[in-house]
Amino acid sequence: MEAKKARGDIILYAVLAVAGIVFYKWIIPTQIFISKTASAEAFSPDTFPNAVTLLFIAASLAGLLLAVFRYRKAVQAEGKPQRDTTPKTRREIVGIFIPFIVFSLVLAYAIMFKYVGFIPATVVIPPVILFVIGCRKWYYYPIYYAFAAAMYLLFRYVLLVPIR
Amino acid sequence: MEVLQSIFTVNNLLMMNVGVAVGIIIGAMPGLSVAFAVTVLMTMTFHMESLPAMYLLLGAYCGGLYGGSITATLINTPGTANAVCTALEGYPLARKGRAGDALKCALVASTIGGLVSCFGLSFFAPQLAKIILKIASPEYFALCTFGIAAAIGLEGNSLNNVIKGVLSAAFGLILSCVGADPVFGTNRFSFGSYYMLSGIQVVSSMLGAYALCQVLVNCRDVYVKGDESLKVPPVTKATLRLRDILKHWKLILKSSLIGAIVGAVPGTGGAESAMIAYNEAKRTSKHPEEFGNGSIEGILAAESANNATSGGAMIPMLTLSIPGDTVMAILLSALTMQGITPGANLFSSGSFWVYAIMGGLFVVNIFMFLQGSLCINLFARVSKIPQSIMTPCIVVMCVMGSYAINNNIFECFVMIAFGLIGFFMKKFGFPVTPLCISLVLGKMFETNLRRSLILSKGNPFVFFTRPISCGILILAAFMLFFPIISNTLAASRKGKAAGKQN
Repeated sequence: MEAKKARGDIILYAVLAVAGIVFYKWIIPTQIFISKTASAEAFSPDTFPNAVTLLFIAASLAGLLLAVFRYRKAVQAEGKPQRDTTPKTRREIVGIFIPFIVFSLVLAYAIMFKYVGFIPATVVIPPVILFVIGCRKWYYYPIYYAFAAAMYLLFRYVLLVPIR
Repeated sequence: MEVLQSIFTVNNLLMMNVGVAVGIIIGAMPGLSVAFAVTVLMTMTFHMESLPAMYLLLGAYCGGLYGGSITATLINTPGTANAVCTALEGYPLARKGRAGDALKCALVASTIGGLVSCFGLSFFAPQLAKIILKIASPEYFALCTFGIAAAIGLEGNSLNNVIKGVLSAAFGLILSCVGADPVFGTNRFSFGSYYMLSGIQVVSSMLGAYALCQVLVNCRDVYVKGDESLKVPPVTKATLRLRDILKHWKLILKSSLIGAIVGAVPGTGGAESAMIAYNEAKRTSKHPEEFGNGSIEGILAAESANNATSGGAMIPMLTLSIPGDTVMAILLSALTMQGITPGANLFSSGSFWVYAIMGGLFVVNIFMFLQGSLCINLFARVSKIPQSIMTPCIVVMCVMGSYAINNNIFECFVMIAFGLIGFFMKKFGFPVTPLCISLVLGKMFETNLRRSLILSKGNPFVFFTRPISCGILILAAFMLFFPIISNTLAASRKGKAAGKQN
């Protein structure tokens, strides 16, 4: 168990270290323009982001070393991690993708809010989310619509937030 | 006597209650801040008399500070950045069926915190103001470092967790760099989008990292196992009595003092004081293992410190005319509109206004306690609502709340992005709190670091030659490393004891 966790951490820290290096070498130089005045100073606009990114990379490498050490120790104690062969139900397999489906629907909600309007987006997308997560109780849908209507009235007419 | 007669008029008492009620509701709404509550009510005060107007705004301020704890407890969505620590303890407690207890603790602690800071304001304001004048950029930098270190140290019971906390905090600091450079005004990380020029809004990031993230985490369990898997046990009414809560009076008093002192420093607020008090409570608790799993002490510490900033934040505003945050700036402008000039003379001349504000703050906190007590059991029922119906409701609240920040759909996309980031962070065991705290403190951290180095002509030891700054940095290092050291020592003691037995 510990070996599996440590192995996961090794991959994770390696990815983070690479991401940090990419950020340091390519993203920061392209996204922060240093003027002549700023470049003459000891502390220019990119100094702080560079320093924090180096801290990020250092922490990732430290985590990587620690994870390798933990993995070796765990393998000595438990042996190499074995694949989980417990059979999964169809619901459990689909369940792995549900957060991403819900995320896509929330994203679609925001896009629809922008291009079509709040009311059509709120009428269509959240009930689809409710259906996707497996809700089949019909009375939940009017409860949701009542809540959405109350929120709309509160934000639009009481707090004067301009949503249409 | 004149002050008492002025405070206890029907109009003033009504305005206090209205302010508290509006403040609690708006503070509880994700995406809407205390400053929003005060700003909305400010427009109503233009045609009012001075005292009722001031009490309306004070009521909204105190109510808003408390209101964030309600949604933090019930749906793991801090309504304001100040309630992040409350969410860490209140939500797990609510999932155990003790939402009523969590809300009652938050209410009592908030009330006592507000009352303590009110006394602090009354008796120590001029003395504290002298100390505040000594606080400069190195001290601000040290305070920010302390806040970030405290956030990392929260879950840093092993070296691996500290490393993950540092990574989370570093990520938050990088995100705080988005926007204009504080010294040169250069655009950083705008990626060609003018929406990014003003940086990342803390509120939308918190909505995503806490609320939307929780939705994504829970929806899988709801789909696979149904609502029953996330059902809370039946008890949601408050079972804790007032005297049970007041047994922790030392903790509440200590946290309130922390909140009042930190709140008195201009630029800091409830988020920093709650974090520092929470960490201190965890460090000194007899049951530190309960923290993160629904600790009453955690809620008491965070909420008392949070509300204690109300009186503390008034000290620089009333004595030095320095507003510490947006809300204080609004209150300062309200006072100025009424012809009152805050400053050192305000206290020395025994002004009616000073005592009226202090007395009003006292009464406002009492009303907040009464209003909150009436509604605790009603709020607690929210935790019984099935997770499946809560999911689309929270999604709508998050989108509306983030849109309401700037009336801009871009904030909704930021919220959604942070929802995904928070989901993966939770999946891989990274704490979200250091990310949010670093995002809140990042700009102040960098600005004061650069300012300190410019003023000291590049001397990095300026932070250690000034006693207040040096002391705070030493405390920050202690906060960061103490949990690992104490756990390592405890583990080696256990190992030795087990070895001796064998």
